[in-house]
Amino acid sequence: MSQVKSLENRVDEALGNEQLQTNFRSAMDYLIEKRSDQFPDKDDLNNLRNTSSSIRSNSLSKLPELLIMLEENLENNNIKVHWAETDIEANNTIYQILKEANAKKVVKGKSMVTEEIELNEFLDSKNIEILETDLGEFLVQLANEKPSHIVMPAIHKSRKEISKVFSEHFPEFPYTEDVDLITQQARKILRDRFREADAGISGVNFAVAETGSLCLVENEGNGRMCTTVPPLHIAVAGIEKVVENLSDVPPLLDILTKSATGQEITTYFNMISSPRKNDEKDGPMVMHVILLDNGRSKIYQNTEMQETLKCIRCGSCINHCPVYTQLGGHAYGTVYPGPIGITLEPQQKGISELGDLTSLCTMCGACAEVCPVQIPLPKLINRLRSETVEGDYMSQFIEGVGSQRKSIESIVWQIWKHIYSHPTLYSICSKTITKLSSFSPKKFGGWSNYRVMPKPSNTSLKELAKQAGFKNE
Amino acid sequence: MNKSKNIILERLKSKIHDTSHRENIPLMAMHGWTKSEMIQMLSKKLQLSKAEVFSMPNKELINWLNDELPKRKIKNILSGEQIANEIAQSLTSKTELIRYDNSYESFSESLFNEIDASITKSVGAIADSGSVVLQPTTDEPRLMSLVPNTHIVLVDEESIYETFGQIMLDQNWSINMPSNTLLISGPSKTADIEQVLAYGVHGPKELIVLILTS
Repeated sequence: MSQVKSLENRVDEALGNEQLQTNFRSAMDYLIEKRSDQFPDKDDLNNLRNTSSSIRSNSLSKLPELLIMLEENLENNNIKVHWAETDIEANNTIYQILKEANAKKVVKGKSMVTEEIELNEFLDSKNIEILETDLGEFLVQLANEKPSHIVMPAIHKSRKEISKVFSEHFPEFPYTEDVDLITQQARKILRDRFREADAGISGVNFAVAETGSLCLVENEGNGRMCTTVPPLHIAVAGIEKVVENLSDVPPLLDILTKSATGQEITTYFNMISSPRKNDEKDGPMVMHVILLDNGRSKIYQNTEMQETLKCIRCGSCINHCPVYTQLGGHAYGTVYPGPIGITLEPQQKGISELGDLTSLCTMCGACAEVCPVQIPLPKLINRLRSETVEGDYMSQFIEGVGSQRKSIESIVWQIWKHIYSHPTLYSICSKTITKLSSFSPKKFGGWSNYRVMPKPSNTSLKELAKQAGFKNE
Repeated sequence: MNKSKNIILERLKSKIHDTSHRENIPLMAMHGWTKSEMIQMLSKKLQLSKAEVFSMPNKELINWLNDELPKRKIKNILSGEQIANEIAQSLTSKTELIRYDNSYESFSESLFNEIDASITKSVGAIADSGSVVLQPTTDEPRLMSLVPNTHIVLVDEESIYETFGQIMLDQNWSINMPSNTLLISGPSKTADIEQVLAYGVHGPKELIVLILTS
């Protein structure tokens, strides 16, 4: 119940913040337009979506085999592989690796999966300094906040707010609202940090089973710094990130960058297949990969919801979601916001805790239309919505199925069902309601807080049709 | 640790999945560009990402360096052995040639704080996305293309491909993946503050691509 209330409060707060809504509206419009410019030909787009969707389906169809192949090839490449069933296990494994290497200072490249396991908070509690190095993530960390978008983490912050936070933390630099100057100041600060770091942590965009390669997509170069400069590199990858062949990568990269930020390609596409070899002069001496489950294998078992795992985290569904645009990322209170967030998070954390998130959808279908790997998001959201109130076989895969069922709501719908399936009763009720229409209430729960309460008409549609001469009304 | 591996794999395997099932993946269409069209497309796309592109006969390279480096106030340039052998003799005294001789640890200070520019080879380029492709080696380590403010990269006109898929297929990457493979498509950039584009955030502020013709 407290979760329900707090979601309502967060939504109320977001809806009352006009500045936030203006920021998100203009940012989303910008991203929508940039994406659309990248796909001038609808047939080309459809072909690329078909290809990308097939590649992801194929990878999932043989996921256990591909994970074993990936592990074998990574180990052959001298990259140590760890499996983590839960977030706690992943964090502990990372901590053990850092401790054994006596690592005290860690730099991190942008990675949603490390947000998901709350790695920063965990390492903080172990007195290991962990610094975000993607400019947006760095600014969000300075402000002691969380990212509000999976691709553009600081999208909720205005330049003024950023300048203020920046000058509070780094008074040695003159206050400026010039984006180029702030960027150059951050460059100076972070370059020293890369050199001082004992370890670098990154996520993974695609893990290629065939060659044992980790692929990273980025524009800034901080990802390359984190994975090349420190002596130790730890990569964290959700188990669904694996693809079978190297030839699977080009179409996915193509559609990922175009869908995410409307870029033909990002500045860097970094494919790492080995730590520093004996004759090489740079690169990390030691590399580890954490293969993280954290609920994914359960989603995998659930035939109806498995497509959730096709996601390549481009954020396109978020950018096109009218609910996200109104609320911004923080109102969701989750790591992944928007359509993919309300699909993935209740499955991971359970319906008792996050089932109400599924109401943050208008079923407009925009997300499914733009999804580069053709995930039928509205269908999945609708399915989850029904699971929140009606338990059936899905309870093997998702915690809390049916837990949001309210008895009063249930009774109302039972009565409704009864009336609608009995024509005589229906006729009596509709006649009564039209007669008593002047007595209808002005307020009706939370629903009428934001809407004008409709008034029943004096004449029912059935009667109107009859008057108009329809025989088979 | 193996315990988790077993739990995860057991769970995945318990789902009846058909490993022989494979959706047909349509091949990506080829554009059928001529060499000059590819050079044109590569240059256009790179320039859109704010890289500078120059095309010149191989033998003109040294003149270009001697003209351009002093103009750009580049006092020293980092190079691998192979390129150094080709240009060391003819490079004027205005530019000092620096070598990545030792391991990164003993070179870090000068790499980050003293070097103005670097020059590296590439294994090719991709016309349709406007990317140069690097596979760092002992001679040209990974950080050469990341740390200096200016990165100059040489592209042989014969090694320009239409697509990313083509270059990996033609060069047989899947059989012999090197430690690191990079697609670079412009100078380092960010749009994290109010979607305003800013260049040179962590990596090179300038990317100069020299397409060498025979």
